[in-house]
Amino acid sequence: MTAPTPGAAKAAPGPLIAGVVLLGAGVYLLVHALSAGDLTLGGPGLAPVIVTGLWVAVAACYVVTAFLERIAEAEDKPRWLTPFLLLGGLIAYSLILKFTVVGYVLATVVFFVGSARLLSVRPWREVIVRDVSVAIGLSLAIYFVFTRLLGIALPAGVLPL
Amino acid sequence: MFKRILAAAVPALMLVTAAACAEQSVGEANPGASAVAYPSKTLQIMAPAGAGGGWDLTARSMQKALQEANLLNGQSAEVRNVTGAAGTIGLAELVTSHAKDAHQLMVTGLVMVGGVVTNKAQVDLTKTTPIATLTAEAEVIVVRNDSKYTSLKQLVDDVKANPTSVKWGGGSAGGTDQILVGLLAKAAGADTKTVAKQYVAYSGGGETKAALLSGDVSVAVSGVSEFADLVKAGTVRALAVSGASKQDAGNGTPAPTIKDAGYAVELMNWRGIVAAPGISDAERKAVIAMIDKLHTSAQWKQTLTDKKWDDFYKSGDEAKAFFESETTRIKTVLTEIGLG
Amino acid sequence: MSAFTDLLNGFATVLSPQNLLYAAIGVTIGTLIGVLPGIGPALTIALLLPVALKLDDPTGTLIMFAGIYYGAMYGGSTTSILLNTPGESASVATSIEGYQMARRGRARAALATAAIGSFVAGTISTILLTFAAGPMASLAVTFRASDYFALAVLAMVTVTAMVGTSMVRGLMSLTFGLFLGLIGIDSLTGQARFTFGMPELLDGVDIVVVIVGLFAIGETLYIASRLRELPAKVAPLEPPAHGGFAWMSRQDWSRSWRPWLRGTAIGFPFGALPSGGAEIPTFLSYTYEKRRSKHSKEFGEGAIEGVAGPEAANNASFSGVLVPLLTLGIPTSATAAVLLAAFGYFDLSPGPQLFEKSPTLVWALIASLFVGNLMLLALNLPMIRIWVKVLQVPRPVLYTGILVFATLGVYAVSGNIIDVIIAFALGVIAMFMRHFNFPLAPVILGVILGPMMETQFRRALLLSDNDLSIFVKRPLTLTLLVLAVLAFALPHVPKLFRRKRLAFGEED
Repeated sequence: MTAPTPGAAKAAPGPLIAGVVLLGAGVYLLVHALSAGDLTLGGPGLAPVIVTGLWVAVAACYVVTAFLERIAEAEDKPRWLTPFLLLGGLIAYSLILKFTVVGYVLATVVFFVGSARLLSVRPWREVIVRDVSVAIGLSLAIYFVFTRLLGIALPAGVLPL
Repeated sequence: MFKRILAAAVPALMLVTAAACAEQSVGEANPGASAVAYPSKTLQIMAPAGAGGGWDLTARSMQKALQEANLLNGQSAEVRNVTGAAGTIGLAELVTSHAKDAHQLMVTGLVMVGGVVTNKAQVDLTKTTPIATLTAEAEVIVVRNDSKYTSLKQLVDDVKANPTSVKWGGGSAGGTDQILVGLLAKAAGADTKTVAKQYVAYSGGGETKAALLSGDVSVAVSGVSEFADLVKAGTVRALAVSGASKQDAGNGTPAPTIKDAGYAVELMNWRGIVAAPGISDAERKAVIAMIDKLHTSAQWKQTLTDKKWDDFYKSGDEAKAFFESETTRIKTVLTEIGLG
Repeated sequence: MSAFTDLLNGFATVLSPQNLLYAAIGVTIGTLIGVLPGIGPALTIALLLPVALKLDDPTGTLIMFAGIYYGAMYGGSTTSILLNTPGESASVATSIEGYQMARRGRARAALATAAIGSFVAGTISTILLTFAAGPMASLAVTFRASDYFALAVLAMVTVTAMVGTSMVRGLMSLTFGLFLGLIGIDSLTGQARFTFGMPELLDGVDIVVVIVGLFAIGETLYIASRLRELPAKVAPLEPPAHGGFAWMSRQDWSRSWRPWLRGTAIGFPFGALPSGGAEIPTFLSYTYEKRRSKHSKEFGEGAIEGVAGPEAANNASFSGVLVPLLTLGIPTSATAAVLLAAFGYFDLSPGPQLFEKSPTLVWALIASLFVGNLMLLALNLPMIRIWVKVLQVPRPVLYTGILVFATLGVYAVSGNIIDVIIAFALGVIAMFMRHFNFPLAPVILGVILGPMMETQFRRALLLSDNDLSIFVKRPLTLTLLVLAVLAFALPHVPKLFRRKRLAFGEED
């Protein structure tokens, strides 16, 4: 583990921001729940109000504690770029699966190599052969097990499978 | 790879011989359809629900029977599942993303007609190209064997006198079971809206059974097959079935229909098949011709026997008219009971 | 002792080479699909049904299906322990301590206590199924809506210990879960709630999507945010303990056997209840072990009791599920519903008549559960050696693999792109929750218990024409509610006294 930045625990704005976001979301959902009407006992509108009301109350407590006690933020320094790049990759991957003719195997190989690269700290020359071969093997195995043995359709796409 | 080639080659060889005969018979029976060689690519059959459910089984059984009866013109058929909202997600996908594609079929049924209404879906079944109805199951109305009701009339009389005295149990809100309760109340002249409010929705046949046995509900409504074993064991009593004719509900003797009891209600939980909208008339005829042949094939008959499905076949214009009349009827009753 | 002779006859049927083969195939397939996130036994059995029909061997097929069901539970614990990626809701409780054990190099012991605990629970609960199915089933169907509501309240109060170290953060997680459980059509009125006009949300957020999103995808994204600080290996692996047996040290054994038995005692009756389920008993078992354990300080850092109990409860609930299924034809889980369909295909209707009409098949099925359990133990203990190798797979490949399987599990099953996007979104939320130390397990608790509480409460009201006294009129309901109040109050009672004494100026 890396050493914590001096003073990080005290001044950490993270929890406070998270608390405010939570509180905002809770208020929005509570208003949404209240506008649905029919808050009778046994009706469908009551539980949403109770749950979102609880949400607002708990989120408010969290904001207060975050403000007063300055909940110590995690000591390690996360890098948010990598997970969001990965997320972008995932979304692109699933959209390609659903809406294009690229096909399961090809899309999976490309995604696999890209994602493994993002998650790797070693230079790509050392791992590219491993990544590509695992990607091809895994995607072909999944494709055939699902389409041939289980009868679940996966897009064949441009490859002559 | 070799296996793949082999797997593709064998049926193809078999079809070389079969295709010639098939095309001939189409030409004789339906001159308009022979213009289109169908299917000309992989046939997509969408099951608008999860694997293992009724629509999925229908889709997979069709796929299997179409292949085994050599009705695919040398092509193959694929089943895909699109889950959600009583099939209306799949319906919307068929209508918006696959319009004019004659190779996109979708399994449908009464539940979807109801789902379109209760979910206020933008797209309804009439937007598709109707092909056929295939199977259907009657509903059954049951009470516990220690219940005071021995006939449907006694039950309905009580309901008319005091609508809140009878609690009904069945499947999801706005589904076939609740639709039947609504239709029955309406036909009997009871307070439809209040009666429908006495309906408690359960998440499936198992929960409904348990609720009837524990005494939570006094009457349960479900598909005939769901309660057959309990009827047979004498644990519950079948008061009526919802089909056109008397039917054995499990104990060996035919149970009376709702009509026999004097209420003009007939409801079948049917399943059918539709194609994407906007296909040409020739394509439509070709699809209907294929399903017609499927229906008469030995393979499909075997499927019906294996799965204990009742044959409920209407195709072409007859199916179109049926889909339309069901849509109107279900929409009316659901609106009346406050779920529209 | 007619059940005993029947059972012996059942063994005679099962111990034919062909049926043993079916059992072996079943448990192997089950173990494999249990390892994959999102692909559960219900789906697998549904997809294998057409194949099974062709075999035209009802006994063999049902033996195989039961093996798949059992095997999936054994397999499900593996990924929860090794990678903190449970594939189904009943493995979430196992992952809490199991993953902590794996992180501390104790993966072998965690996997072993899960496997042996599953075996013990499976065997005991099958014995209960053999001899007490009839009475259990008639008891189970006396539960009414108000009783289920009271039971859900009791479970909710009892498992609040799950909220973890910080009350506020734990409650926030729970509330988030309760909210997720509300999304979709209200089951009683058909009214849409929190769907924001999206038809894809009408069916609600599937529990599989929640679990895959929060755990598999969330874990991967969290790892991605901390790549540079992480050690090169996914987790260290201590050498197997000395002086023990089957990967577990003597101390592991002595700390495991009581949780196994208690987990069984909790899991079996819950499985038998028509609306019970397998998740609640796993969480109850976890909570109980945490409270009772002499090592309660170790909880959160890899206490073996926290793996042994929930795993036993999970497996015991399966035999429980068979009680109403076989005796009344009432399926109480998705998998049981598919099994019921399988019975139907072979012209068998489970229910009161099954034991009279097809005794050979029923007793063979029950005997196969004993055999299947033994096979799974024999399969899984040696497999531990192989499974722990997963931890040696280079991190980029391992976690990319998890993402590929997670996407596959959600997408291939639903064909619904919105489900996939929801899973990704939950993954991002889970990443931030981990960053800010919000516990994940209460979310699952909320998703499961919330709808149960609400639906049963409203059903009870509907059935009593809005008369609230229904909740105090039934002795069972009242008893459960009183227990809930006690469970809520008791932990605080000593504190009250202590405070009072302090107020009088006495030293404590």
